[in-house]
Amino acid sequence: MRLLDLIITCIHNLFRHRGRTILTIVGVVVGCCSVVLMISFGVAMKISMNEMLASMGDLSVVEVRPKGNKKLTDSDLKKISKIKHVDSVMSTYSPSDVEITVRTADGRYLNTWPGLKGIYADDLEKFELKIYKGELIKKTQKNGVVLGRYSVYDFTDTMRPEGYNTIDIWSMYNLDGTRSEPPDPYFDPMGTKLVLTISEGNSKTRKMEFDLDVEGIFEEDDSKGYFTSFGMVMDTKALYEMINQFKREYGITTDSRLNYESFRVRADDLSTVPEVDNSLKSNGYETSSMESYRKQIEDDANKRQLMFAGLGVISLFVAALGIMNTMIMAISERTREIGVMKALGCFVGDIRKMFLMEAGFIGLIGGLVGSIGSVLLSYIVNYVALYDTLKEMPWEEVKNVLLTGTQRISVVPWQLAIGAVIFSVFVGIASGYYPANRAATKISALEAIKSD
Amino acid sequence: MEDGLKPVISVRNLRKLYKPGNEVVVALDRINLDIYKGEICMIFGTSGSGKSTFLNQLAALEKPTEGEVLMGGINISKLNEDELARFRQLYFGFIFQAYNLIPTMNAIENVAAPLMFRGVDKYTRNELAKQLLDKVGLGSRMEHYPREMSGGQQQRVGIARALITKPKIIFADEPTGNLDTKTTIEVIEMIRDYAIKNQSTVILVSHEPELASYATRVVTLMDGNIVDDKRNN
Repeated sequence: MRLLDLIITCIHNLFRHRGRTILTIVGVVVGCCSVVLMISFGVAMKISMNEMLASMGDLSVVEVRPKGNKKLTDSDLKKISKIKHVDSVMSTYSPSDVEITVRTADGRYLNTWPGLKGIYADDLEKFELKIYKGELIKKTQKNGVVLGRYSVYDFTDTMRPEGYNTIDIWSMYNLDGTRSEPPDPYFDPMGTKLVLTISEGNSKTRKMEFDLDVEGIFEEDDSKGYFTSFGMVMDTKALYEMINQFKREYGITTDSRLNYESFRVRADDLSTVPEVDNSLKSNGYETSSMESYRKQIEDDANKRQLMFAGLGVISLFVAALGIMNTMIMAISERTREIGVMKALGCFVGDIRKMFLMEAGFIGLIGGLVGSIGSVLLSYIVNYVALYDTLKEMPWEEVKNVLLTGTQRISVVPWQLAIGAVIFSVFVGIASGYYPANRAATKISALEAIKSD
Repeated sequence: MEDGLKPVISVRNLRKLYKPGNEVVVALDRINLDIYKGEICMIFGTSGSGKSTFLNQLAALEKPTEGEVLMGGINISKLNEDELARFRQLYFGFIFQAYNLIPTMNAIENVAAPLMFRGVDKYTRNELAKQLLDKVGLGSRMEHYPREMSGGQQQRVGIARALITKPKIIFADEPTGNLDTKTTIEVIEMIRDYAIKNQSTVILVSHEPELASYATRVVTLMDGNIVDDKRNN
């Protein structure tokens, strides 16, 4: 038989018992919905898990620190950059054998612990450090500095007595975990001239001063470094040059090589993080990354998702029994008809196809309606679950949250929806297989002759 | 007539046993019969005579216990399901007592069904079906469904369906069993006229002696044996 004839015959037969067909389809719809929704909860869990991990640190980054007494030097930097799957390396330089303070040019405000670090200007952009105000430093700016978002609150007012000479930044952290606007600082760092003072030990005489230009203020992102909130950053080369100038001036001959504090090594993909981590370890570095943590949480989430999906599959299994039941009934009703078709020369294979197609069709319609239904249901579930936060938002924002929000508790990716349709068709065909086979092979053309 | 011609159907030592429970029922007991081209062969007998079983063997609806049915030298009981389907498509036409039209199909579709099973396209097979329906006098009821037609009309659709493949052998199983006298005559004449015109062989199974006059040969069965075999001329 031609495919088109098979399809038309199959649709005719489904329409013959409309009520029964619809009820069977409803069974598939319910089964499909429950599978999709259950999986969608798991997907949403995974998304919020990744979001949470990402807030703790860049997932593709491995932090490298020197092991024991070893130092991280330029040759380490070169070596690590050449490791397979390493995308880029951001080094942090933190001068340790000199004393560093920063004050305003007028001398009134003083920061005795500025947390000044050197980072190559190129790396700032590569590692996507965001600016809150102003701009990032460039290689050519010898005196450029970018301040941490709240670095200005580390400055004390030398005109005020001890204990009353700082602004309490911590008052902006509320007890319920939210944050208020920070209080006004003593001065606006943008456009204020700063002076960097390098000195040695407790000696007040061996010191040297450099002017600094505040180019910008970082957006706070502790996953990229604490310096984005409290601290300041200069170009490594410029900072190292200043320190060396100071050391030369006073004949200080401690280790003059550039020793890095740490490297942030970024893998070229999330999946290559373990490999990069392992090669770093085998090269004798101390590493830390989110990977092992992430892996464990992901395994847990996968297990839970599997369990959820298992629950959903139970109802799809019931739907499969429904399809099987419907097909067995249809076949027992049509026994004589099948016999007649055989007597008229219909191939066994065509009879099998006819019934498989009917079962597959029930699966297809059920899967389509179920997939669309579960997408809608997923919106409803999210809306209800997030009602408290959504009710105060304008509609545009509500739409955004429902479509892309990471706080959703049910997420149906399109692959899931399409997969569910395919799976439903498969379930239909699989549950129709036994009845169809029986119709094709067990019912004889003789049925046409029998009179009853 | 027989001597120079090869038979269309040769039945050799055909035996069919049924085993309902412990006893063995001999439905057909070593039957030998040759049927020739163009014969309208009526298998006559009372119920239980074995005539229906005989038809089942001839049309390969059932496998014999012993013996063989040869058609053009082919032992049809040895064919597998697909070969048999092909064989039926090419050579057989069936007319049933209960008409056995497919309820979801209208008259045209029912008549065209055997061609659909062969894979003939819809336009071609429906045109043929319409011509045949015209010939059996149902030109005005082509779009009707079986439930909308009388028994006689349904059987005429059944005849058209049997004829659409231009079969070499037409099996008619009590084709008039459910019809009144007037329609019976119409139907049986229709079958006979077609058979004569197309040199088809007809195997007509019936218990109605009135039909004998339409046959060219009457084979009478009793208790699984041929007790009489005579030709009308």
